[in-house]
Amino acid sequence: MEWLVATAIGVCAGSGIFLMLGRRTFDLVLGFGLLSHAVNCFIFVMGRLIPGAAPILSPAATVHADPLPQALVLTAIVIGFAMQALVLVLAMTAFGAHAEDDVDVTDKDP
Amino acid sequence: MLTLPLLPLLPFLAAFCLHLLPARRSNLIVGSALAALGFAVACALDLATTALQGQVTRFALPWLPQANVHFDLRADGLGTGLALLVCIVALLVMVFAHGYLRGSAEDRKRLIVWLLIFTGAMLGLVLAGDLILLVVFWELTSLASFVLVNFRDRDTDARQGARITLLVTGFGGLSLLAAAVLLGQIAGSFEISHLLTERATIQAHPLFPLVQVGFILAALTKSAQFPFHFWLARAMAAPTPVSAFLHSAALVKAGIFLLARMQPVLGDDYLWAWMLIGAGTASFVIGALSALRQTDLKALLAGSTVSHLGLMVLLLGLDSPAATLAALAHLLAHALFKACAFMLAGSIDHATGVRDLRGLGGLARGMPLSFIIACVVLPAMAGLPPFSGFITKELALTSVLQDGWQILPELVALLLVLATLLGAVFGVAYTLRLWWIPFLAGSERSGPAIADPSPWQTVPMAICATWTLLAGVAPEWLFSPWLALLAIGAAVPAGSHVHLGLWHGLNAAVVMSLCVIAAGTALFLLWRPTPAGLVYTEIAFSRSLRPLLALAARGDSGPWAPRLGPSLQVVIWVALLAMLPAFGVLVANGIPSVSPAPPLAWLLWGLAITAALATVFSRHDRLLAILLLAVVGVVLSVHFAHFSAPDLALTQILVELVSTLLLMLSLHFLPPLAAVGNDRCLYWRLAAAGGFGVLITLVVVQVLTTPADGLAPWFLQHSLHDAGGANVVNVIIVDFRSLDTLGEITVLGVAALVIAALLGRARVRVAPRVRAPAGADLPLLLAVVARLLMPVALLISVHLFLRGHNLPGGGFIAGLVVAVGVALLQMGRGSAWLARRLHVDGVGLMAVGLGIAVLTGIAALPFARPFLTSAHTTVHLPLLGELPLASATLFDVGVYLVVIGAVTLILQRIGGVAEERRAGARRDGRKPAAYSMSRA
Repeated sequence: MEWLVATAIGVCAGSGIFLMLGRRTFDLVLGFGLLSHAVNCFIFVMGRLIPGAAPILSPAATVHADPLPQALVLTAIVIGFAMQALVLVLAMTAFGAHAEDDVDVTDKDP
Repeated sequence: MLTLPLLPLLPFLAAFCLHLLPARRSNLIVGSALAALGFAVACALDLATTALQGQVTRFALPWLPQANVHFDLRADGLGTGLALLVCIVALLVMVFAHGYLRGSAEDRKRLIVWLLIFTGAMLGLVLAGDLILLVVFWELTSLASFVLVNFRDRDTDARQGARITLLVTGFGGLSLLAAAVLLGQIAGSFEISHLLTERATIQAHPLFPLVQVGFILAALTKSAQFPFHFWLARAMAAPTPVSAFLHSAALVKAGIFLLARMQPVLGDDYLWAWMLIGAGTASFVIGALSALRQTDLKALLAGSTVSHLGLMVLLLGLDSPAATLAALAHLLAHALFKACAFMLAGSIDHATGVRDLRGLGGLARGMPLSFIIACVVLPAMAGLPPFSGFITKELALTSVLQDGWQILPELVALLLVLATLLGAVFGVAYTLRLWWIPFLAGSERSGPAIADPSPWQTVPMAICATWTLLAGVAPEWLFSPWLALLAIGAAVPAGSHVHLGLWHGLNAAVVMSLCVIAAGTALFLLWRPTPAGLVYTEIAFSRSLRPLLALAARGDSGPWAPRLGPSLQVVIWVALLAMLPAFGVLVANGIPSVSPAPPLAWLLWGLAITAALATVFSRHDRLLAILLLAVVGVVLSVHFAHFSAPDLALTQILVELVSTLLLMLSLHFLPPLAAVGNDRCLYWRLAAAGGFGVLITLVVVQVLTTPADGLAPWFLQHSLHDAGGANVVNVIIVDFRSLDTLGEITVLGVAALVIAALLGRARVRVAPRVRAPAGADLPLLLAVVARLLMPVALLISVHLFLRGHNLPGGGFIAGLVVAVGVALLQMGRGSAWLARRLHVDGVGLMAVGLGIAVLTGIAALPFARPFLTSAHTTVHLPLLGELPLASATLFDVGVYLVVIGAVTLILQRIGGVAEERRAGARRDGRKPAAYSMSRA
């Protein structure tokens, strides 16, 4: 089980990095999305894999998963969305200003 | 006593307020600046009367008590005396600048604001009672002077001059910081009054010479002393009022002040004496010689300033009460006559348009008032009677003769006396040049422009000249009390009094003065100096900078170029290298025993990996890639749900929905694939990405196979009892770590605002190769469904919100549910429809939400609890039953509103652009673009 989770996170992170290292703007957006998924999952599993023990207190439940990584990841998911939207809009405006699909386009270029 | 903190803060406050005023209200700006400075003079006078009685006014606030650093102001005689000088000259220069400055209202405002900031920094410097505070203000004066020298920033000379100024004084600032920290460590306190009592301990410490060298280097760089004197000539690119203030009375005097301030602690030592006497004498002679060879008025004055400051440094190096008094007296006299000389140079420049001696002459009749003023301040500069400069130069010569013989070996003392005489001779000669050539030499000049400047300029000059004359003729009125004030706190024993006067009988100093005047006049008449060339130390300085600049230039190419991919790769490779030892440990640990995986896990694993890799391979087919990315997100959501994180699962699935919609909305504003350049080196990318993936995998396995050891038990124990919530995740978000959350919703809001601003301003381009399917552009079915769903979404959202403290839900999730409803409406009905129906805008919602969150936090303060402390109780409501109520719920309302506002704003702006373009395309008779994309 542990290896399955680990390799899935590794593949997502690696794919995300690979896409982000490219030159195309949309690749950057996609890569950012994949890397966000990988990082969120990475932080989440720092609380270990405990099935069926949601951190919701009740007299019946005795075992609980670690709530702290969950709280951290919850806000990270929402912020990740905002950042992805920001990168996307940057890509849109860069294309609007320069008509090129290059993350390194500068104002010097026509 | 509030006068003391008010004095340095007043100019800063005035600068801030004036900065907010529109530049066209220039009379108001100048008036307020003058009023502020006038008030500062009054404050300084008030402090001075107290200090003159020997009392030291203190004002201290804790700043970094852990590091023993305090915001400690201390008004002793030396500090207030200089503060008075700074305020008065600042006031005079500000008046002068109002008459002098030409150019746009914006520029005038900028100059006034920065002059005020500089004045505040200078006042803080002289009044600081804590070494670290002193360093802070010292750096502030350097920074403000950088901006002021760089004032005409279109001008290459100004930029270069400012850069050299900043580099040299910045170097001095660093050495001052090092020395101050070292001294603080040795003495156990940064308090200056404490240092004065610890003198013996400090001087006995083996590192004491380092401290001395640090302070002396700082003073020498700031006061433009040999070998750092070249920056002052470069700084002459500043506007003349700036030079009149910074380069005569304030900035350059900071070095002298530092030496005088530290002399009781660091002085009375060989290293101190030798370094200061050496640098001072060299500066005195070299500065005077370079002034003699200059033809530019301001450059001549700069050389003269170096020379006069050299004399003060030399006197402080002699380290006797009489010499220190002479240095302080000369400091005062020099500040006023040199400020006036700079103003004169500026007036001549404006009247004639020429600043070079070779193009000037015969101005005496055209500018009579200026000529009279010149006849007062220039003799003072040369040290001629009956002006202030004469008295101070006599004092200096007497000290050199007496103390030089006492503390130095005879031969060196002789050399010192000769060098002093030589510098003084040069001083007489260059002053004669500065006086004779512009006003009297050559034929008489006339013209409409050749006239005395406006009273705004002549009055400050006349005030300086009057003081210079009065200080010489009747020193007991204005000169002696000021000097007595300065002497309190300097290394002058109480009661040692110097009698200022023009005539002390025929003594050695008078004879030397007469010889100097005669020799100087002869030199002026007989020698035609060649124009000065570059300063050797400056050449050495720029050479030493060259390799640094070359290195910086190289930083712009290769892997360090400002390109995203290579820079990111560098980061990743560094991270991988840094983790190399960890790799070793991970591999050495071997494959740990693992728990078995159910078939469903294998299925999800396969789905996630396939989707992630397929995203990479199908990245050119954007629609498919977006869907594959969503698959990864959905698998992640299932993963969260399975491993006990219902809140996360909900959040993830909702965000996935919104972000997929968003990505699709943006599709036809993205560039067509044809316009893509070559991909960068594929193998390096693969290696970096692969290495990163392997590293993450190994770390995760390692973590998952070690037992948990976290903060979980604490949160689980305290959640219900302390915060009244059973859903621990929500309690952490809105209560235990609510400050984090406050920061996070702020980030969310900022990102949404940036997006709105970007789309509001920038041009957006529709990709030319996008083709739309024929038919309606708004899907009818979705339109109907979305409208029906919206009330349901709102209901669910409120439900999720209310139960959030005890069951999965809460502000984030509830907000996202509303956002999904809005997104569907947006897709179905269009943003124009939505904007008509939705009576609140995203920005307003975010503002209200953030406001609620912050106010909830502040509400804890009246109860003497820290910011964001929460309280909870249970209330009984009819029909609804027991309702647990926590102040954290109110905070969660803030979160809820910010999330709705931000996501709605992002969706509406991007969707709005999409529709605008579509409508535009329809008007142009072209096929409308839509949300799909043809395969490249």
